[in-house]
Amino acid sequence: MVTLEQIAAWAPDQVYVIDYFGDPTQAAEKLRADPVARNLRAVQTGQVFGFPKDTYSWDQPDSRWILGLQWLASHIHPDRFADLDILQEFTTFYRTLYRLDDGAIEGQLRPMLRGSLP
Amino acid sequence: MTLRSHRTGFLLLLLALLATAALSVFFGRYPRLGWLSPGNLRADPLAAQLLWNLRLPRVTAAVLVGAALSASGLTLQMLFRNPLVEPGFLGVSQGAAFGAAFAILYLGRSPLTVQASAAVFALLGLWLTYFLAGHLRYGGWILRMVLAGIAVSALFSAGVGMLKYLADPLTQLPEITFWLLGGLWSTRWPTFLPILPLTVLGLGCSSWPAGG
Repeated sequence: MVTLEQIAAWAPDQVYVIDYFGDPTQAAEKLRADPVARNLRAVQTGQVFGFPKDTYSWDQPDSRWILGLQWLASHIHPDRFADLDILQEFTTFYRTLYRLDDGAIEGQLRPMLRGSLP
Repeated sequence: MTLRSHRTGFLLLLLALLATAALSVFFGRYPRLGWLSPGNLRADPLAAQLLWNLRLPRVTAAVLVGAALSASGLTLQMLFRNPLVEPGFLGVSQGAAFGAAFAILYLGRSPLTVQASAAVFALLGLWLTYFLAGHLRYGGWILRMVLAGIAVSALFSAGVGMLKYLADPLTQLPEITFWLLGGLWSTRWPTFLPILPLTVLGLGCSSWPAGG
């Protein structure tokens, strides 16, 4: 169990919030609004992100990690991944790996997307 | 023991409590493992926030929970004229565990429902123990209470085991496990506030002079 005090002692440049059951964007927002966490450097510099998910979180050790790693890299090194279009990668991923048609991707999966995405 | 040495003992215990509480408030992981100096507190707003809004509510809650637990143990011991009893012996703890697990599975798992159900089943456990002890025809009253308590505890423990087996391993099972372990790691002032009136009420009732 990691407490807010331990996170403060680590003084991270960035914080990535994962929420398997709820909305990671809201969880990140909750952290930003917390009176104690508000003093963290990552919060003050706007470097708190909700880890994206569709049917399940992109941080999981399954095929979604292909998307998760690209998304994470583009946040850690924004200058090197300036040309990455993560939503295009998302469509390509489900089209090529799962052979889903655009109707299923756009109609069913895209509305489930949550997290810090463009 | 004389009244005087009682008083000295009490004062010493109170001092020890205050010392450990102060130690817990000023010792921690931020900014590095060790003491938080007054200089730190003045210069670093985060240090002051951690002390006031994380450590202080946690330590205060720990003091209140400890007071409530010891008062409940003492009350039961005096009530049943039995130096051996404590909530864990009379089916109270196991009843509460069963009530909480039951509420997490079937009653919507809101904090209020879980606590209320735990309290109801704790009292049910106590009543069952008392009822059973009254119907035993063996040994003295102390022994009968303890034996009945062991039986009721075993019954409710088995119930908790069954509920755990039925629980959803992703959502309900971790919640049951966290509830059973307990913990003050997430205590902040808003979560501390509901504890205060309940504990004060309980302590007030249990220290009310019985008269005679």
